Amino acid sequence: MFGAFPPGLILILGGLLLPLVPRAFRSWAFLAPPVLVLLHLSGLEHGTQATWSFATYELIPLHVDPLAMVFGWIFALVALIAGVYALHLRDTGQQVSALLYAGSGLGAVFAGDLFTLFLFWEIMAFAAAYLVWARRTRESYGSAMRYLFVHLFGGSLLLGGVLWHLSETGSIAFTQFEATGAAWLILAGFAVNAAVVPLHAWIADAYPRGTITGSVFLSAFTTKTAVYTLARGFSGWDVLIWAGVLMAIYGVLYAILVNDIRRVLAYHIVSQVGFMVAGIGVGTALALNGATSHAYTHILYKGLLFMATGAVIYATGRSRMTELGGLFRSMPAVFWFYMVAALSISSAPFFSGFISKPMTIVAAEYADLTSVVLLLHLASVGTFLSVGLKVPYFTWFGDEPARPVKVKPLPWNIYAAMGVGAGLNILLGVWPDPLYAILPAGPVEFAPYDLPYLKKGFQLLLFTALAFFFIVARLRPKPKVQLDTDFIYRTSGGLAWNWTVLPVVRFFAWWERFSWEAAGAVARVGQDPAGWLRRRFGRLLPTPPAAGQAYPGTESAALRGSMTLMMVVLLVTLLTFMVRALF
Amino acid sequence: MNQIPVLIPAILLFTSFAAFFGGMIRLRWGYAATLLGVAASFLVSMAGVAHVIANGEIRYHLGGWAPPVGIEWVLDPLSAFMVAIVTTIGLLVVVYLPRSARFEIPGKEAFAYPSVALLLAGLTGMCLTGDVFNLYVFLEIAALAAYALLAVGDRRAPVAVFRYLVFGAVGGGFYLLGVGFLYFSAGTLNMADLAERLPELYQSRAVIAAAVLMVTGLGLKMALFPMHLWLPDVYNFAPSASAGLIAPIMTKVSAYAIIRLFLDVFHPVFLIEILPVTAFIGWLAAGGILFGSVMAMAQTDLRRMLAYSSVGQISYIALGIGLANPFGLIGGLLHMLNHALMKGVLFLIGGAIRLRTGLVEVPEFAGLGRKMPWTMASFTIAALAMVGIPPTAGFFSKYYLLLGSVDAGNWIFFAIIIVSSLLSAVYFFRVIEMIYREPEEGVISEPAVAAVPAGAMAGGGGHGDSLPPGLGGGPRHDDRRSGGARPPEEGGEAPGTMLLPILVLAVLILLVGIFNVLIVDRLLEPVVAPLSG
Amino acid sequence: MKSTVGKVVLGIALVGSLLLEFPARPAPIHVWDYPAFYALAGILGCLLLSFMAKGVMSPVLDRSEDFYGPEDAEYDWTTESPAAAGPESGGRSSPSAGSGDPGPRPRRGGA
Repeated sequence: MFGAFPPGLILILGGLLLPLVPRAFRSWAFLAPPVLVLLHLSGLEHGTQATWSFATYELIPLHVDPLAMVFGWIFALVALIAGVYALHLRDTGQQVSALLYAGSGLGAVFAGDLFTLFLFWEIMAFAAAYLVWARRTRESYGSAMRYLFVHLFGGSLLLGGVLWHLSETGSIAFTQFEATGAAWLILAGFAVNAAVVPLHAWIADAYPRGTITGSVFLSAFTTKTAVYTLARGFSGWDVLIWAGVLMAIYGVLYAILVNDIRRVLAYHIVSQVGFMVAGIGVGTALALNGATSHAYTHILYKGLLFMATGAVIYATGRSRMTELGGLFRSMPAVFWFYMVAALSISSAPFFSGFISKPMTIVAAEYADLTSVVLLLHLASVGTFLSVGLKVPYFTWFGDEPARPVKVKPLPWNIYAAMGVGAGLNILLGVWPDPLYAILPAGPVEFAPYDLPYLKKGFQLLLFTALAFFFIVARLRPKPKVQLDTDFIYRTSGGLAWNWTVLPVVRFFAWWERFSWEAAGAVARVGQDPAGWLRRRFGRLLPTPPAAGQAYPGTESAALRGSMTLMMVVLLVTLLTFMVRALF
Repeated sequence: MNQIPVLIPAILLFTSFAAFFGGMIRLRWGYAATLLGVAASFLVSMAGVAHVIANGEIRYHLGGWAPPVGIEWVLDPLSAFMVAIVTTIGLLVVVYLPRSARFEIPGKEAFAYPSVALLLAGLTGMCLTGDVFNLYVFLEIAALAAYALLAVGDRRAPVAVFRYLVFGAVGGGFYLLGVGFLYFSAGTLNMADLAERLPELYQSRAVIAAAVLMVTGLGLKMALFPMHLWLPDVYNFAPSASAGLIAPIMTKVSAYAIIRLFLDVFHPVFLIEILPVTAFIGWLAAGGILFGSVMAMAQTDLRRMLAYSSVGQISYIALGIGLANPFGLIGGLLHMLNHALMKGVLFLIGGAIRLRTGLVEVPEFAGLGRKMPWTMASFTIAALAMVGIPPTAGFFSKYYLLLGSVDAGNWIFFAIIIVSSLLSAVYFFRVIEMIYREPEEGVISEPAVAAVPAGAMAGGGGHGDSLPPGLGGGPRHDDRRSGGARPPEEGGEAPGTMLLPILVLAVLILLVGIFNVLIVDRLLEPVVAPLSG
Repeated sequence: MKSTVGKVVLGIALVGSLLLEFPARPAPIHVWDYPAFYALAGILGCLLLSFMAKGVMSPVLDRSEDFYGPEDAEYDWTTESPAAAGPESGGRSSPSAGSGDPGPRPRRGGA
């Protein structure tokens, strides 16, 4: 619609202009840029490019191909839905940040070169950190700063790798990488954003501490942008298969343990992204289609999950399962919306997850990666167990909490947004063809409603549920937090401070004191050398004691001492050079 | 047109006299003279830049006497670039000055105005002269003016400035000795002539000694680590406008002098290979970058933090010199411009905060984002630039330095630049986070003694620790405001004449970032051409 | 806690899913081609994961909720705007003027 204009810039400009809109209309005005982007995308053809010359480089701020378009569509869509969810919000800072965040995510997926990618990567880090910070509690301030530093660190890895890559190949084009050192560095930078274990702890730290509306946005963009970049640059790299499997299992194990309902979802993101990363690692057409479609549907159902849990938190003021329970009577609608998303994430038949995630596992089956397949199935079981069974049970059923919970009514827009999200999940689940048509790796050779897959879907879920009801008492949440890899920098931060910064500071402070005192000492000698000599060496000198002419205070002494020192230094230097010049 | 090189310092010298005498009659006349003079020099320097880009360099012989007898003045891309920086910052600070001076150094403005003009005269003279001894003359002129401007601040300023004076005198003395040796050996003081005559003499001990002395002397003036010891206290206790004027440009011009020696007096090959000065400077710079970042993290006083940060930033420029390849040197030169803009605006903002709230300690800055929105927005832009976030200016100089490190194959420098950016992020974002927080209930932003947590900040970063006992290292209660300053003038956003330069600088940071390619292409590429050969 | 109706429905669904095994299929190649694999996988997987999480990891990793510092008191989520957030500092703990303090010092891999 707008020619070769980067869609991300539409959202960014919209965000920058938003404060100019009168307050009463601002939340509605928020919806305009995503709508514009959707219209724009419908007119963009594959192969469109925009270039911009900068120094000696050709930047490519817009590069349209199937992979980018898939992500573009879902990013714009979720920005719209989350915007509806946030219609009740009155915080301009959050609204602007959300648009900047979504816009830079879009900018990153449509970037054709590494510099543009890096620019948007950095903007994403700041905008997202603000969405965490905006909750304005002491916890959130700390969490936001940690988020920012982790992502700036990842950005530095990316920048280092890009510059190294540039010096070796002379190119900044963003294409599939060869296995060079520079590429590994870039991979590390992407891995931070993708929450690859062990660089994942920021997600469990920050996502539960964001604002209610902010976390919905957060869940959609950072990790999926990283998935996109991995798909574009590193498809087929075997290391990703194992990294992905590790993430998948690690995520669900923690998800079963943690108490905060949004933290469960955060660890789940690690797990689900693990599936996508593994799919990218497998690298076959089916696997790539699987990972991409999984990313698409994941954004939809994860968004809905965050919206639903956000609604619970909004209504009750509490986010921990130990403090929730028995909400079914007071919040049934939210429960049903939540279950739609939970069934989607568990790949239940007729929901959106069913037509996407199994593709990845089937691709692994075709590639004969038996252990990978088994582990991914295990992770699927865990997914349903934690998100689909444990959380709803202890939130909406189970025992009432010790302190009775008061339920506030929810604004209509929250229901509307959840409704749209749920509807889309079900729609895609029963009619996947529109999604399949835009997948990047060619025609989709996967028919999700074949009998073997239906059987798999039903059996896996139903029998997991069966087992759950037998052990439900054991899975009761505890009011505890679990240590994760962020333990290293959260506790050792103080230690590192004491061991590195403080010694340097103290040394230089001491050095300054020492040099002043030395100068003062020289001054004292210089004032009265005879007296000093006499005091040092007793009765070696015949002269009587001089009348005390000591200058008051070290200040003047230090000044004179410095002058003396300087004169001595200069004279000695001069003498040395003259002597050497002569000889 | 031909007289541009000598016109600029001449205007400024004349201005300082006019301001001095005018100020004796009426303060306002002194200020008017200063403002007009500095503005005129700014316009001439911009014309000079345009001329150099279009037509190439200008050489002017003072009094018509040809060198080596006469003094030659040169306007080439490098000196035009430097003079533009100096006069721009000078003009903006002169606009900022009256209000700030009335608050911080009441009664002494009449001396501040001519000193500013004299300082600018000295610095521009240093940049434009084509004679090594003349450079020393202007170096000392600038230094004296700087001492005067810096010493009128806080109660503790005179002692800190005296230390600077000693260091500066030693540095100047070393440089002068070096000039002497060059004259003995080559028989001329003119830079172009020296460039012709020195190559035969590269093996002579006198020339080697001269090079070492001159670089060391200038390094002292530049606050190259570890000869930076005078800088933190001086910038800390100076009046805000003086800091805002001197921090951006003074050390840069000394660095310029080293570059001039490097490129045009001694040929690059001498300082790179025959006498590996650049390698040595490079490693000192690397240490300085890390040192500056680490020390800055431990500070709670904003000005002290900016001072240590400056040590680090100057080391970036030195790193550019040390890399001694085209990208590295472009990075160093661009960083001179960028740092001048960024540090300038940061010190000016510090002054504005002090004027409105009396605060200097970062932990007390909560709520400033709401009180002074435009000022704090400028602070945020400057902080982002200091950390090196695209598309602000700061990113691009670091980018060139990184490319230079890659070209030189020096991955340690590469890593140090990146690590130091992350460290800068720590202390700058701490401030940004604080200014946008809501102030706690009951804590109105008054300069009460801050409850700084023991251990974290107190280790040598506070006022008392770096000065020896007996020199003001005692209790800090009354030192929150400078010695003669008045109580803060409440009133929301910074006053107009102070806000304007701040905003202009912030906008320049963004513009220079986006359009840095123009600057690099037109002005800096010709400068580093000798290195590509 | 499920009602009897729920239990009956679940039972029927379980049996029904097993019935899906009956249509003929090619000889099993991989382990997952065997009959009722997924049913077993569901049960065993659930038990295995629960055991690993609650049995092995929980004792090692659990810490009290204020391990990293005092947790914030209940926060009024309905008023997500800065103006409203101001007066509610009752819950927001006092950062003590030095909160520019040991907060942001997270260095990956040590400073």
